[in-house]
Amino acid sequence: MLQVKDLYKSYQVGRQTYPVLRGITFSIEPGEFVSVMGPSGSGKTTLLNCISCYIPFDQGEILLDGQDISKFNETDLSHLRNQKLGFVFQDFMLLDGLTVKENIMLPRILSGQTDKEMERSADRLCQVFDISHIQEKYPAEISGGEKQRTAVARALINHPLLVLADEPTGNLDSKSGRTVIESFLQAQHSLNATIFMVTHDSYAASFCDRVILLKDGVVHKHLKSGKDRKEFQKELLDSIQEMSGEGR
Amino acid sequence: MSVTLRHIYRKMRRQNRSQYLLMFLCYFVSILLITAYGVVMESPTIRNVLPEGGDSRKMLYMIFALTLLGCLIFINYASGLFLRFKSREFGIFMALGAEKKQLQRLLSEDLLLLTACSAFGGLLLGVPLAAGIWNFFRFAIINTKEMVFSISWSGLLYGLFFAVISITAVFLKGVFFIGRTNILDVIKEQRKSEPVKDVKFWYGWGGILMILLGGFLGYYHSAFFIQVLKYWPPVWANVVYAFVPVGLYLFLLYTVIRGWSGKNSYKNIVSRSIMKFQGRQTVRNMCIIALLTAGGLFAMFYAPITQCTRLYSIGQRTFEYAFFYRGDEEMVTQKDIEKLAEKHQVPIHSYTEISSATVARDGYRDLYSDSGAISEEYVEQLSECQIVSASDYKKLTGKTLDPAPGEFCFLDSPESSESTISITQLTNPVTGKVLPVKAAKVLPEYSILLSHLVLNDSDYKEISRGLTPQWQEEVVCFHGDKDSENAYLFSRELFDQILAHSSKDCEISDFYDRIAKAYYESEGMTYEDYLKISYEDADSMGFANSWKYYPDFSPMDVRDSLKNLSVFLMTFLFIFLICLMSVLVILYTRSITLGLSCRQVYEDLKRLGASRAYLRKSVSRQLFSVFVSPTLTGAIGIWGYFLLVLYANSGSISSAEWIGAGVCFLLVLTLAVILFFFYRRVRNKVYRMLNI
Repeated sequence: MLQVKDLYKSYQVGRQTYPVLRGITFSIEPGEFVSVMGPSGSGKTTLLNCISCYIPFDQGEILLDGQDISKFNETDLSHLRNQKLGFVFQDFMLLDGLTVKENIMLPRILSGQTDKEMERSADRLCQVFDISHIQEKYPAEISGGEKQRTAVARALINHPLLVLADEPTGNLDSKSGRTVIESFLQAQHSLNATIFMVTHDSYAASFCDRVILLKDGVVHKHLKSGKDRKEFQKELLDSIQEMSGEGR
Repeated sequence: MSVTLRHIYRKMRRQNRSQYLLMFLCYFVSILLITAYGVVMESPTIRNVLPEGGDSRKMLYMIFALTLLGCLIFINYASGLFLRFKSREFGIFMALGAEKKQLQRLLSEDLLLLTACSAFGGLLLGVPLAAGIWNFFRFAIINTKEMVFSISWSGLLYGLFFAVISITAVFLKGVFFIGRTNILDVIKEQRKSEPVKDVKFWYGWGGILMILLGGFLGYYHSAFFIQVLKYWPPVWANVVYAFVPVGLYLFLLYTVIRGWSGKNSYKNIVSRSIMKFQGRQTVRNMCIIALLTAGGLFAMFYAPITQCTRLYSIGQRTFEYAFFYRGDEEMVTQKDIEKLAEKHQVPIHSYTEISSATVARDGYRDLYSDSGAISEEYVEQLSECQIVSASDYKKLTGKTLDPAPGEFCFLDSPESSESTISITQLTNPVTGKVLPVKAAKVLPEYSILLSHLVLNDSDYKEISRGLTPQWQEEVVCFHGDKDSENAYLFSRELFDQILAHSSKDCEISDFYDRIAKAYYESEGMTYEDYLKISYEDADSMGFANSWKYYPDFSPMDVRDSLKNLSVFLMTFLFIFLICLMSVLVILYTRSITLGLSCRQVYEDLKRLGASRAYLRKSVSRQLFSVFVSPTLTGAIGIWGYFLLVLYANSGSISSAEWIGAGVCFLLVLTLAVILFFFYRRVRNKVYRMLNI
């Protein structure tokens, strides 16, 4: 599904070059729910932005469904973002002037697939994520959790190969965060979605099948979930502490 | 009906109509004001009165350039604001896979709709606005023959040109906006601030010094070039004025970011930090407000200073009634005048008649080379010069002047800067007799003998011997009632009779000079009588201001003084209104931007427990700073500059000028009151927008 090979990315500030990603390699299989964790500055969001094609990378390869996205031109990238990727942002990125349902339909509208099926898909997603009752409301009229579930539904409307989520629970209280994670799980199980999530939240990450720990721009560790979520969360916390040099 | 991109975008437009309306208003008002200004500037009503190359015409152009610049910067700001607002929407569209051409189409529609409507409206309403304002004041204040507003459609071209430039500029911005590839930058654009990072301690005083320096050098650089370097000032020399905007920017930056109080910087931390994070745009707007305030007021100062000086000098005249005529004219007699006075029941007394003469004076004529170098050429008979004998001067004024043989006293205007006059010889234009002279002193004079040379009796007799009547004048003066209606009617009828007795030979302006004409013709050059007047326009402002033999009748002069300024007054009043409207629109937009862009900040502050009083104070502090700092700087600055001009004109400021400057200051206070009420209205609107 997704293969990241030896990825390098640095930022230039004045004459100074700051390497952020230093040879990242990993892959994600279809239907997997994977998250990336790591301390601030470890390169999590940069990694996500490179996979999203929001920013170019210096070196390496990102293969999505076997295609090297660095070779795509602007039109191809637009098509990729619209058809093969779904996005969930920390601050929701919903358009205030559109209703929940219209926001969900937006990727379809942008691709010109404005048929009856579009509305049916939107209704179905609203049902799946329990937001049918607010589908005619505007973002300003709904809660943070509802906004993020709307964003998840929007990310899924075009049946993307991969959903990319950047700190989706970062702006939410724990209850709303939980509902959003449940939405991802629902998407994974009901819609067979593949999800790649950047998070700081070990609780949210503990629901994933796999967690990639980043440190200083390199993959520090891969952790795979067992059967027990709480155990996995504990394992995650221990690994993070160990990574921070505070191991017991 | 299926939902399409066009459908939802139209809906988003409706939802965000306040942003669209703001952009539309900014464009519409800018194009409207520029069109109206252009129409007035090109109107034959104004062009016929404001002399080509004259100071008033230059001022008209200068303030137009300033308004144009201000409107350009303002619409640049407005379009920037609009695109920043759009960046989030477009960033989300891009992130969700919208293609550039889709976004291009949407943005083009937006911009086309906004700019075409605003341009159409502005161009369409510019002419009625100009004519409406003009005619409103024409009927409300002064209605004279010259005030009939005639429209030159070429004025519309200014508006059209401005509209084309501004529309092109916004489309270029749009192309750049769409061309960006970094989606994250586009999305974050709306939240991006333009903080001013480093405001040095010297910016405040340094700015003030630069403003003063710019004003001083701007005023004196021409004189320096002409008098010291003997060179016509090149256009680039005007660059010294650049000190003013640069100084203004530094000064306002310091005022906004650091402030002058220097105590308890935490007290106003919210308002100051918001101002700081919108620093560049805020200060740029404030600079424009300051310059437009200054330009508008400078135009408006013209009428009070001219009117005060004129009324003051009328009040200082030795005689309430005085006129002069050429020796070869069959003029009204003392008997005619007394009869007319009797008819109007105006008692007159102290009827006095004296003679004066016109001879040629020597002097230097400036020669301008193509390279701009100025050289001087001595000319023995340069121009006309009126002379009077010391005994006749005494007869008329009661003052004794006794210049030594070969010397003269020059009777100069109290507002003039001449401390000496460089005449070394007088020539009788008929006999060619030459009298070497030198200046004894320059005296201020309010009587009809203004600009005359007083010679001792024997010198006068010697130089005027042999002059034919057309080189001689008779001066008639008498006292009489000046305040009654009858006095006005008497003076009007006497003026009509003087006109009726004046021949075609005397249908000339103040500028017509027989000696200069003869000199030009002797050198094979053409003498241009560029200010032609006609007896048919005897009631006109132009005639009153220019006829060589226009009488000094105080009742008529006082009553008609405003009328004789009408077109000037109206033109400058119009300029003031345009500048004021521009200032109000910029202030309004800037203030509303605060309401639109800082909602979240004030919501967060509310959540942090900030009281309503604190929040309101924080808003009012910002708005007050935006309103007061630039307008006060502009108003005080231009008032100071105006005093400098008055001082530089004569080396001192006369009583009349001080009175005029006082009236100008009252105008500044009036503007302050208008702005205060406007500030309160806008402030309350922003309170409502922020729900505080």
